[in-house]
Amino acid sequence: MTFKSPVKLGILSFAHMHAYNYALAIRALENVELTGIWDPNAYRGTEAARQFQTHFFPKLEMLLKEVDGVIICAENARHKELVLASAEAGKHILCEKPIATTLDDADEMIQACEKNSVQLQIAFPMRYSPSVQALKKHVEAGDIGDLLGVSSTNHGQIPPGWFIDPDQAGGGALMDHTVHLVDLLRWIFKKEVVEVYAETGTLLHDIPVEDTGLLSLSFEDGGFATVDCSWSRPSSFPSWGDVMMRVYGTQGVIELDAFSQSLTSYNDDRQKAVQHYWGTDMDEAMIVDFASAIREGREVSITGLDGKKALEVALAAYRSTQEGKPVRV
Amino acid sequence: MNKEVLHIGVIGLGFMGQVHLENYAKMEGVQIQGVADLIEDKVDRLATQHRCQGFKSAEELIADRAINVVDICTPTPTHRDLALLAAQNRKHIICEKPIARQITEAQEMVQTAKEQGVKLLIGHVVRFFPEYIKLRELVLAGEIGTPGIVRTFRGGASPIPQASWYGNPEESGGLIVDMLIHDFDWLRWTFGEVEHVYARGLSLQPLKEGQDLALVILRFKSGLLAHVEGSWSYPSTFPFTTRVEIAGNKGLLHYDSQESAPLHIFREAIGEGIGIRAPESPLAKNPYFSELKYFIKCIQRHEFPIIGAQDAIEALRIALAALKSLETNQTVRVGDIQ
Repeated sequence: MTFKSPVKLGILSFAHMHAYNYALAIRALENVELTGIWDPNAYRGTEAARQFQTHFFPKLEMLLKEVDGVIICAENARHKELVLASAEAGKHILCEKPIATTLDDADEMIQACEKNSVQLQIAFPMRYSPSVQALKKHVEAGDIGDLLGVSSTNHGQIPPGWFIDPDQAGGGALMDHTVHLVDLLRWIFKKEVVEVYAETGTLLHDIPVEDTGLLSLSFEDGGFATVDCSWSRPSSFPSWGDVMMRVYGTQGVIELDAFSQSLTSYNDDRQKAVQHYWGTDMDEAMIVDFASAIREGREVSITGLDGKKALEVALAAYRSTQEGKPVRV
Repeated sequence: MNKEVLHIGVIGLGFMGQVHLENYAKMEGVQIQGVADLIEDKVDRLATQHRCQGFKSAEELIADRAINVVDICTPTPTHRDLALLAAQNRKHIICEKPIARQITEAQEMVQTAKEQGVKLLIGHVVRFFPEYIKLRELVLAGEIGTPGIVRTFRGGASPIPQASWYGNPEESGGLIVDMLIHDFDWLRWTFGEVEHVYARGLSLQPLKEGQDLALVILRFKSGLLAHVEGSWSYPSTFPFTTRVEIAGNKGLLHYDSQESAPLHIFREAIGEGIGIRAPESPLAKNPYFSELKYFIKCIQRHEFPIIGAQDAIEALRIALAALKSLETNQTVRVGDIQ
């Protein structure tokens, strides 16, 4: 099926702050339309609809009827119900990470989409970073030889609300940030993680979930990587965090700082330095790709299975923290 | 002993031995009395340069009555024997890190030095680097509140082309024992005792091309986490680099030696000369000078040093726990390393 008219997308829930980025991105695109917003929080939903000059749909089924695809930005534990409803309605889905909080939920979601012949993409925008893509090319070209190990970080600041509620989020910093790096490592090196060792702690904030995490991952062929997923940037920090990788190969090293394309601004009223990122908008690139997949009737670039694989590692990491030793994924 | 000039004999004339000699040469209150090394050429050259006696063997140097301080800058596995001999000859001992390759060796050194009434001072020089001193002061002053998680980096190109014994992990322990011991010591000095260790890396393997890499996760008794990274995998054009990041509940401290180097020189290579130069970070007081001067003062004044031999043993214990973790792919309790 080919489309001449714009691809129509709806956003389901603004619980995840990325929904605002996605809405902005869609508005800036010519052949993609933000047809409407549904949100169980009607106030939040109507405000967002006003902000992005689109319609708020009080009933989910009514929005689903109008669109070709949906972007799901609900709390982690609520991804499943919305994916199932959207799949049943025959709509393609871009779902925030992590895919779900349990592997059973992830499986149900993947199966529902298969059964209804709709695409399920998981939102890992880092794959759309040109610097990450360049790193992947260098690795594939053999510029640093064979992989020895990787030291990586995805630092952040402590997020608000449901992110620190274990029932809604499924965990803290580990659940929030590990999956981005696991997905990148799988994608760049084309290897699966077979074993995980993790240490976590609630060391920086007074919250019910972990805010620090150090993981060691073993790949199927012996390579290893560490991941730092901590919410360790204080509120006074000039940026929200980072995505960094140091890739050690037998013939060299590649150091990646995916958000270094920033300017520093000092402002006396704010009394704080701020980093302004001017690099490529990865969220926009991801929306373009998702919409293209719908338009061209092709498979999405990042599948539900990719989401499940990343979740498997995160859940194994939690098991490791309980057992105090490495665990098989 | 207070104002007495100390007569130093330096054993081992590799990179560290030469650094020590350069600093003693600038120091008041010390006289370079003699040098020893297995390589006769080196002995001759440095004895001439520093106008001192060249000894054919370490044993001869240690036995020399004019020498009252022995400075051991030889490969790690030789530290114990040389230190014991020096102590038995009633010489004070300055010894490069790591104190020894095994805990039992280190304990023998401490015991013998104590019995003979001589000082045993181990060269954990990072405690004298101003950036590491400042970082620790800020942490202790509460600059970032209660610290929660720390990341350190140390490394660059491999030292192996210049000193092949590093390539034998039995002897050197790879970079985990030889280099990361600096970070283990500083972290322990700043944040307290380490409970357990989990490590990934190459340090157990004979290092081809001299490459080594280690990523070590530490859990401190206080609950603090640390990620300690060490690399001998960069090409020779990469400057030796250190980094520290400490996150606490009220803030964050960030240090990067590349960001803080004040001097960068760019020029075309001429003939065999080097085009890219390592950035320079000059200081009026070089940390090796500060360390050795401090050690000399401790000897002259009979004082207890801030870096005691026991601290050196504890740093070694953490390093050996990391090696054991590499071997077993399990967490290793530091207290289990004897």
